Amino acid sequence: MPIRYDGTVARFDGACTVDEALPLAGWLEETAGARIDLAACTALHTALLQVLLAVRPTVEAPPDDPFLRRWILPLLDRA
Amino acid sequence: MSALFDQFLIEARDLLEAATASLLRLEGNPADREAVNDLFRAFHTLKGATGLFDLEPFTRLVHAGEDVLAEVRDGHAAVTPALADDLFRAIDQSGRWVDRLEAAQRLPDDAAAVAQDLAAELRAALHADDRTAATPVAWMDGLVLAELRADGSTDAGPFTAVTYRPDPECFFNGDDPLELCRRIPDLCLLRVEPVEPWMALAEMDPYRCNLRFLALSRAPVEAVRAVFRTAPDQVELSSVTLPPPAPRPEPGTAADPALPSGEDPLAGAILREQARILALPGPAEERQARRGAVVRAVGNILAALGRSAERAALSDMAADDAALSAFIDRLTAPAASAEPIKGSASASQARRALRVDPDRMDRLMALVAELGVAKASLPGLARRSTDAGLAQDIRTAADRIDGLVGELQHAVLRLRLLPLSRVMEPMSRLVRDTARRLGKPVELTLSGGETEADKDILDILGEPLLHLVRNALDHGIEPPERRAALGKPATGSIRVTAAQERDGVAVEVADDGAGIDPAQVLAKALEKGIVDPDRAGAMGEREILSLIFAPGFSTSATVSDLSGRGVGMDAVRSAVEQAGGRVEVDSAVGQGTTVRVRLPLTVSITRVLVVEAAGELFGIPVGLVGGMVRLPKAEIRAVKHAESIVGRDGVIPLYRLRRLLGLGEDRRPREAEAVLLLDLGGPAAAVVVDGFRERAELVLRPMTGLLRGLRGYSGTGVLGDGRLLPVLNLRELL
Repeated sequence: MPIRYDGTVARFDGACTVDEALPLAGWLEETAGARIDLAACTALHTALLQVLLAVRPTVEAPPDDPFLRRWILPLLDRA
Repeated sequence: MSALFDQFLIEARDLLEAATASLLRLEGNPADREAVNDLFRAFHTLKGATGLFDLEPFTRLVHAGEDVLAEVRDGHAAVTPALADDLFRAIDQSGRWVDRLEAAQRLPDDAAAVAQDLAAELRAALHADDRTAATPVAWMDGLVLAELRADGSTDAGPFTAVTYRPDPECFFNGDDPLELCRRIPDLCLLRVEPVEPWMALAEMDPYRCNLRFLALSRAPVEAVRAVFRTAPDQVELSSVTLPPPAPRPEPGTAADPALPSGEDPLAGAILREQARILALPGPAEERQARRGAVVRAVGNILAALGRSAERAALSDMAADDAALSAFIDRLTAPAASAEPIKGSASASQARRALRVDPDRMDRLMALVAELGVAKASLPGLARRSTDAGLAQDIRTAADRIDGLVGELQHAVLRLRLLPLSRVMEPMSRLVRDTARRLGKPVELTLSGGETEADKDILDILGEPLLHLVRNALDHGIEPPERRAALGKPATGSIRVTAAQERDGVAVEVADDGAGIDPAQVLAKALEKGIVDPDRAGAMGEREILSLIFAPGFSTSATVSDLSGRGVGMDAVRSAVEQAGGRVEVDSAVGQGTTVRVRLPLTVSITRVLVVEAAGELFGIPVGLVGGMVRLPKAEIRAVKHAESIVGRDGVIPLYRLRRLLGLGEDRRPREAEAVLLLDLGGPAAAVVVDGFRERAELVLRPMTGLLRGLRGYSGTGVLGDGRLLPVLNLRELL
């Protein structure tokens, strides 16, 4: 399972695919104060990205992946 | 809603007006740099303003306009008629949204879709015009440069600019746009933006791609194109070079030269706006949220200005309002070191005029009028005083107060004056659109726009003037073929001239079209029963022409799409007369028509001629008085009860004010009668009164209560001595 839901934290692991989009959206809808852990995420499907951008949950752990860290993290991280 | 929102509505309208004016100027002279800058500024400021109120579709639309104009400003695109049409459409749509926001406090439901379409059209118009431009990449603005340079890059390129708009359905083809972007070689900038504003999660379709990607790469175009070979139709690639990087300013030097000129006052304005937002009252969470937004905005500006050191300092005070506002103050203060926004404060303050609620102005006006009445009691006091010295002193004081009240009244009236350009400017737009639609090339010349008149007068004047111009275009100016056949220049001419006159303002709308044929007008008026057949023979040419203002008259055989809107020339006349003015027409067949509108300086003050009848005083608006004569009885012809006199243009029916008002007949023998010649715009008329008195200026109040239904009166005013003066509505009486 590339995304594990652990209480109020969603942990992204490895290459997270388009199939995760609906469960992720559903989980974000139900979970108040949701946070995301991108540390182990190596690829984030665009469908997942747009769900995250629409909700902007708190980023608990930034991605180690340099591409995501450089270009995607600033979009998710609240200023 | 809130005062801030009201202010936004006012400013948005001003900006749209300014944008229209600039766009017209630009269309007239595509090389007008100043017009491009003004237009860009209007869109830019509007974008900022809409952003404050979370009006995403509105922001998106004006943003598209701004992008397009940035291209034009930077010389990458030209303003073609198609592009101008699109920009006008964007301005019109914005205007409708502002109206809607005022009425309903929210944008209509279709706003997002409308904005999307218009924005796409704008961008398409731009690209259709200029596909080969050196850098046809709208999003490459100053911020992008700053973002690149923030990495310490001094590279001028060439870069490959990528504008990638994935097909919304692309996920079903197995595409992953973000992963494609990851594969762009030598990526040095990636921006991800939503296409549509984000919806609530429950309504969102996560399988529809709502993102677009903007990227810069140092790799050559072909290398980047290879990455997108599965989606060639969704991506635009172009090679761009960046302007050479400017040296970093040392602390203490003036404006950052990396900033495009004209941008830094903007930064100052935005910063000051942030300080203002910070100072707004509100519940704690709201202030907290606003503070977050302010920190982001200030951070972006600092990044754009290339002042990253200060940006770092900013994050330290993100939780402290006082420190934050002091920080912004330092950034905007003229004496600050590393001052990037010098001179902006005074410039924007000078531009910002005071706005006052018209109701408060009216209240002030009413108070001044009351003061005038109160002052009128002083001479009475002086008369009653038995002490001659005191009486003299009271009179001296009364004179002084008299003078001051006069000056005060004048000063208050001046407050309400606005330039006539406010009502003349919309004409350019009307003529442009209409001339294109009718296929009649027309040159509109406006002059005298600086002439000032009362705001109420302008409000009244606006529609009628537009109608006159519309009429000139529709009925006056001939089609180009016909003009050519007549030996006239193919381009018609409409001149609108405003001028100050002694008692008010005059606006003239003149065309060089077909003119009006009096014989036709008369025939039509007879046919419609507007004129008595036996009166017709006695009518002068001017009198006949003025029949076009009669209710139910229309000179055009067919009701055109333009003028047939229920606003006839009679509506023009009634609007003008309601404001105490008059309208007249001059025309020469084959040479053109001139319509002249004369209006008093203000509607708040009506100038009346005071006349006497049966011992009572009545006021008659000066605008309707054509002349005053004493006529020997012998010159009045009488057939039974119907009396008439002979004037310049023929026989004029004569009425007696006593009879009109149902007062007793005047039995005193007299040699001559005091006759008032009336100019009611239609058939001439004359009225016998007992005597002429002074002219007076008064604040006319409409009849209220029981008196409201009374016919023949347009209101009452108070004379200088405190007496109430009924003002007659002669058209109703006759």
